[in-house]
Amino acid sequence: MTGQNDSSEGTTIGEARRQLYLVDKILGLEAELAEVRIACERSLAEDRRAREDADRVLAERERAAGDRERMLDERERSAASATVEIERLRSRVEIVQNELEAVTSSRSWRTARLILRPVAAIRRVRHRAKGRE
Amino acid sequence: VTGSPPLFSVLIPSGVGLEADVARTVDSVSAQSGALHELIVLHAPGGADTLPGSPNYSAHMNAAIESANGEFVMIVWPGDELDPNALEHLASSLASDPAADVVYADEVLVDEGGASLRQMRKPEPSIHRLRSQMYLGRMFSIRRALAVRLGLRDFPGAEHHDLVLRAVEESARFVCVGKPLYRRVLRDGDSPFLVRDDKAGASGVAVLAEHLARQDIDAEVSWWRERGTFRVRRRIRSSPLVSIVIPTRGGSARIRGVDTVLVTNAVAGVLATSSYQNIEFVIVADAETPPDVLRELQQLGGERLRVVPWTLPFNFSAKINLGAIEARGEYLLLLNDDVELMTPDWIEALLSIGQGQDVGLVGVMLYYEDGSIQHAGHRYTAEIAGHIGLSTRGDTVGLPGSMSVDREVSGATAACMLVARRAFFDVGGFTECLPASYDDVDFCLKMGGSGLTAIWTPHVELVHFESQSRDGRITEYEQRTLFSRWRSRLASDPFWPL
Repeated sequence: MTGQNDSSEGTTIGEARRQLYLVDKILGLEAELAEVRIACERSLAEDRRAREDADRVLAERERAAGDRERMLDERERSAASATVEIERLRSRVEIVQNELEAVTSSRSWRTARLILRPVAAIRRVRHRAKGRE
Repeated sequence: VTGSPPLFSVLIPSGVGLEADVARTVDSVSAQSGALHELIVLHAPGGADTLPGSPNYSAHMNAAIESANGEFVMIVWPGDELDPNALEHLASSLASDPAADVVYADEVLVDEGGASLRQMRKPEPSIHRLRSQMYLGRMFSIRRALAVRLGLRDFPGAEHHDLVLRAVEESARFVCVGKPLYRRVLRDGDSPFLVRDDKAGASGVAVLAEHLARQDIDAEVSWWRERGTFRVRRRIRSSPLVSIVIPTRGGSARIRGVDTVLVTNAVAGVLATSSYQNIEFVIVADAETPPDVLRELQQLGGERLRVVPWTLPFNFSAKINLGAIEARGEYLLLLNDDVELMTPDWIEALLSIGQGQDVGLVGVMLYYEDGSIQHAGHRYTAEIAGHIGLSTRGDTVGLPGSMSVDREVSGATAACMLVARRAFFDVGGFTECLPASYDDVDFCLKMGGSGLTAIWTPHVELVHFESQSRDGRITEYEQRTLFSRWRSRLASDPFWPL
């Protein structure tokens, strides 16, 4: 049977057990601390990644919003310029119509039509003859 | 070491009738994505073989390595193929570890039709294992400058083993890429990672003997022909006292059909079988241990046996610690009472490994009573700590030969474990926070944390009469305690899967 003294260490069994317990406790705590540190680093890294993701999404949203605003501006600008263009064309058509009316109602226009009438008749006869051949 | 991606020189040996094989290998190298590479096919004058093991292989290959331009060289056997991203993966590993000198990866065995058979996984750098087996296999790449300086030598069939061992001696840095990047064709008679022919066996022994001599390790090398691996046995320094610490409560069980008192059976077996004589037994006995068992123990062990009474509630760890405190030996051999010794020179074999300066503990091969394997080292995952080889056939060789080599493990069972007394006390022994389960896992991980290595050996065998149907349930408390200390370490076992 055993004695109560560990002669090689010069300590009692109880002290030796206590020593083992303390060394284990320290190493265990160090290991736990290392694990906590790893978990902490991992969660910080995850946090960083999440923040980067959020920043990216935010930036994309801002970019999209900017794009939308730009597109709306563009649309407004194009609508405005289209209105101006339509007005310009409308007034141009009016001018041309007026000019045409002025031409067709002029004495020289009527005279020219009278002169050209026989020529047109000859053209019609020739055209029919060609069709018969 | 440069900041730019390395150029790999891929060297393909060739030989008569291997044209189609060479072409297949060339195709796989040409198909590499990303990484820079050059291709060199070795042709000997007259078309002679330039394969490893053939005459003048070393001379041919050394010339090719010298003429190569790559920062790293890699030899690919004709017919074998690289994964399309193999070199890119190696380059990426080198980018994250630019000081690496040797980088290696897993291999996939394929049949001659190209169908995958199985994956050969490789452990993290393991020098003890390398002394039993060239576990790097074919898929490794070495810094060209180092390969040129060392040069391949004429050890037919063991040229690469020699090269890698000398790289270790040069303190080369090894990096494992845990991905299958090499498709190795398995031909008739091939035994990957194992040495089967006499010539290669003799070369391997010579290579290891030279390596050990250069390392100033006094050891004997042998080739385990049946298993295709090597064994290094250091000569034991002095004959230290070994204290066999056995916690018990004097229980009985039916062994081979006979009611047997376990602890007396274990002690009697050791006394009858063990060839090492400088031992003492420290039996830590629960209060309920029958007095006649204690008497029989005393008769068996005489002055070499001391019984230390344990009167507190059951706590396996605390009992082991008490036994260790009471022990006088330089080495502690922790032993369950339900084991039976099979190997007469077990203590010599354990000391031969355990006396290594970097070794903290040595584990052994345990079989169930039916001959199946119970323990071939611990394996850890994010969910569980278990036994390698559990319930596989006793003659299992393992992949790649893992049941036949001394090898690094993350841990081993305390059912039979040798540990230096000093190392035991340095890590605070077994934690009393884990009174029944996982105590040895914690102990091994503390040992690993202190920079010491755990080695498992197949050369010490015992029968463990632990029932295969034993209730191995782990309490939530034990799980929580273990994982609070070692979660990340358990999740990344460097030696598992094998």
